[in-house]
Amino acid sequence: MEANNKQVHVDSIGEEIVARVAGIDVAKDSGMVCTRVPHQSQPGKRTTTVWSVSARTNSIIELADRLAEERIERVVLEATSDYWRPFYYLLASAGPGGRAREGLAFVVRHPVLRASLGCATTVNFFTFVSGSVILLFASRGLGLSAGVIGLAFGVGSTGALLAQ
Amino acid sequence: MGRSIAVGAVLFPAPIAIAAAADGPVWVRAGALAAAEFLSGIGVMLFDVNLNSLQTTVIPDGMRSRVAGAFSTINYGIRPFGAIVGGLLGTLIGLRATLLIAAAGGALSLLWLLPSPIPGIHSLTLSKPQR
Repeated sequence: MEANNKQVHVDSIGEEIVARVAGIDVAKDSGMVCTRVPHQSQPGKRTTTVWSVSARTNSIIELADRLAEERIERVVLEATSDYWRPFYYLLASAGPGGRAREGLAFVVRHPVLRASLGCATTVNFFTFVSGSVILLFASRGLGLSAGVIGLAFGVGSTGALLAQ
Repeated sequence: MGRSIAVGAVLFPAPIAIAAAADGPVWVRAGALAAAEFLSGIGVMLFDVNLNSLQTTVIPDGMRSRVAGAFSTINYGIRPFGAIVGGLLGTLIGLRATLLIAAAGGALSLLWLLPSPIPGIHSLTLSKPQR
């Protein structure tokens, strides 16, 4: 590295140090995995492990378990063409909450789903604000008897039926 | 379609203000409560039925369960908080004011829709399956 110093470009804007990291060089049929984690006993030193994983669903799921055991914080993929897909999707959905996180990420990125989730959640929140006190209000605030409240709700409910 | 969702987003939560504002003889108070429920019922149907159809169309088959899981967790997860806030407000500022806040706050949900593509969606064309 010292010899080629002039050719090394350091991207200072996006620079970030991840303590426990893995990289996978993905080929058609396999991936070469490399993990770098802090050394167990010697501070400042790092342990590098390199091994090959076949690009099969079960092997990649095993890899995901192993990376989770080593508490890897980030995995970086390098691949030609579409061969990154099995590694990307299987690793992304691994671990607790993986699939839920994927679902949420999809919702947040999708303009229609993001707006509908925000809108529906806001509506839900406020209808439960009113729903929790409406009966009490009908009784205490409006001074209606149980029978009249029931009648009002019964008549009112036909609105939902009509809209169908 | 998109317009129905937008109308529903307001018509579902807002009519409770009619009940909150009611005064006068008993038939007026009861009528206001019934009218609020009636309009709100129309609103929820405009909102839910159309929004569910729209969501079904835009979610790819392979993502359905994951999206539904994440969506419902947040959408339904907010409910207990709404109920807690409703109870607290009812105690602190009164039942009538709580209902008015709920009506106004619920109507503000429209703000999520306005900048989105949803109000401009007129019909759902069934294209080829996406995956």
